[in-house]
Amino acid sequence: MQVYKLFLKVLKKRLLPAILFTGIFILILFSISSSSSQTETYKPSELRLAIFDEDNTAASKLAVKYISKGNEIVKLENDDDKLLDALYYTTIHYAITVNEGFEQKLSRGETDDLFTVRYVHENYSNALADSKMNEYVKTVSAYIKTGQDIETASKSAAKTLAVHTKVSYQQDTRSSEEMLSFFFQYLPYVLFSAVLSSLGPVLIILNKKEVKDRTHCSSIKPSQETLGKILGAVTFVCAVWAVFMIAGLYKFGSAYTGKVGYAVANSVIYAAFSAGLSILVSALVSNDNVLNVIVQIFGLGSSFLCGVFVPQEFLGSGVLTAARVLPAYWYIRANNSIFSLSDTVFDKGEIMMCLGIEIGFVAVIFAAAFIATKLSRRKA
Amino acid sequence: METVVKISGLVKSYKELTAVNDLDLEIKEGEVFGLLGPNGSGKSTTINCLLSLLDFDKGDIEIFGKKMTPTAYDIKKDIGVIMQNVAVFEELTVYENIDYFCGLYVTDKAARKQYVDDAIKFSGLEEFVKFRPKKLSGGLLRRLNIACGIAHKPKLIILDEPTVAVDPQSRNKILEGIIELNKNGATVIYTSHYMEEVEQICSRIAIIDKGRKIAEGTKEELKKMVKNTETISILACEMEESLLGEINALPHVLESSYEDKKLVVHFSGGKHNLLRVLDCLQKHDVSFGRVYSELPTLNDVFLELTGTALRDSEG
Repeated sequence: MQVYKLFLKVLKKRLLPAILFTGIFILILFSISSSSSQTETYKPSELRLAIFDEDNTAASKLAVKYISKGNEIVKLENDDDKLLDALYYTTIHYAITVNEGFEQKLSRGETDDLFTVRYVHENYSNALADSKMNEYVKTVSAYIKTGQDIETASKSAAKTLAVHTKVSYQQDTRSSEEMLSFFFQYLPYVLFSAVLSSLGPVLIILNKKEVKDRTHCSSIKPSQETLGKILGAVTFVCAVWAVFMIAGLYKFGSAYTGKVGYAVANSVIYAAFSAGLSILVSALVSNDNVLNVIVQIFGLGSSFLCGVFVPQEFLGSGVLTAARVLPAYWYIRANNSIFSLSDTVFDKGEIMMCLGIEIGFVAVIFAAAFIATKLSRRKA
Repeated sequence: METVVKISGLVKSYKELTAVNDLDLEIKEGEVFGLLGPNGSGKSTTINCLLSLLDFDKGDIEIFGKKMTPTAYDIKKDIGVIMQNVAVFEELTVYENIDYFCGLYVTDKAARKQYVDDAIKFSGLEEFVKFRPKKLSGGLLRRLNIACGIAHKPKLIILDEPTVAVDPQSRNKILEGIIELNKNGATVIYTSHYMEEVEQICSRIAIIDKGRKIAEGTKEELKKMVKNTETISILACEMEESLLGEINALPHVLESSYEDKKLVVHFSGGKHNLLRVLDCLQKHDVSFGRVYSELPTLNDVFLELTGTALRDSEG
């Protein structure tokens, strides 16, 4: 128990990397799944306008009515300074004056100088207002050319332009189960990094020659010492794994049924492999920096080679053949089958085979760790 | 007195280098036994073999009358070890470190608390119990290292060069502590290449060089092994070199030298050697400054036995 308690005390001081890996992954997971479930509706843009009618005819009034529709009309005095102030402080986006003679010009089919507009600088709002006025004028002109009088043409144009296109957003249809499959797909990298980056340094500290010599001079048996370390490692790995599982359960609880049990088992085996690798590496390496390099190279390397980051179907056959010597390959292959990803179907036999091979890797890594620990003890 | 440690015919080799060569040692209960030798002489290898940290090629090691093996836990529980390098955890406080190492021997929590408190008091670390090792000075760190090794109140304490790179004040404190531990009943094995320390605290000394024991005994017994019983040095001495012949002719003079206005005369036995040298100088109207008379040191013993000075062999 003495070594176990020591393990936990040292671990407490070395938890930061594991917290960072776990925290960032869960944060990303939560933000991705939240954005995918968000529902948005289309709302047309509304402008704040000031409109002045200097023509004051039936046609000009219909034009003002059309432009006002769907926009917010701000009542202001038709004074240049006041309008500039309002535009500057964005009380209004745009000021429109329907010029005198609007009805006569439009009746003759003339479309120039019908409006005077004021704005501070070119932007999206101005373009939208310009477009609306041009569209109206062109439509009225078109109706006049068909023989309609100005008033009828204005009404017809307003009616025609009142037809709106229905806008709808395409919903992200990814289901909880699909998200859960991604969660389990990326888990090997994060689990491996979180476990190795905290567990490795703790074991290196406990294996430091000076303290190890002192421990070996004491009356504690090597088996008790090893047991304390293994218990500590198991406690930590279980805790990290449990945090991930609880996060997954919280976010995709509804999808935690039936076949997800295989995915959970798959992750347990991979967590055990990560723990075994930590013990092996810390028996061979006595430097934190070297350990970090190993974590990065093995973590990222095996993730790229085995299909954690890139789906296995995009990887070349040579790469996949080489990746078979890594447990991450079998993890991903099992995950693909569990969630029917990458053109695969749920196949219990295939999944059990992958899990069995992973267990083989765990056995090999623990045996290697045991031998390395034994050898390092003799070397000391 | 009972024999606590008995090493017979110990041989330990690293490929072609024989680190310990046919070493015999017998350490009695209540002794402070010094293992003196230059760096690389085989002191630490001997200690590591003694503690079963290293396999050895030949020989037998008995502690408390039983054969020492890596699984001799009943023997190990009564041994305290303070290694040359500080062996503590940076992540634990002073108290937690002592408690952890004491806990490797003492499982009873209440008893352990008392042991840890005693060790803290003994090593003068009361004010630093909540400090982490990184915050301690070199001397305090060494004291923590010792506290971790002796907290379980062992019967045999092995200290392997515990004062390396320690300031004089802390060194004295450590040496006083070792004497106190011995007074409280512990047998102590102390290795060092600092002959002054070994002379100061050890009741019996073995000098080893190149893995072999070259002498063993009390410091008085060791000093009797050398011909040179007194060395007189006279500084700022304004004399003719020709006077050396007259000085060499004085009774009991082994040899003399004169260089850079410093006259050094070695004697073998005899009394009033200093007076005779000064008389000779006065007779020839030689003026001089400071005068030193030194009795032989362990370095002289080492020099005479090996042909090299102990300090020359270091490093």
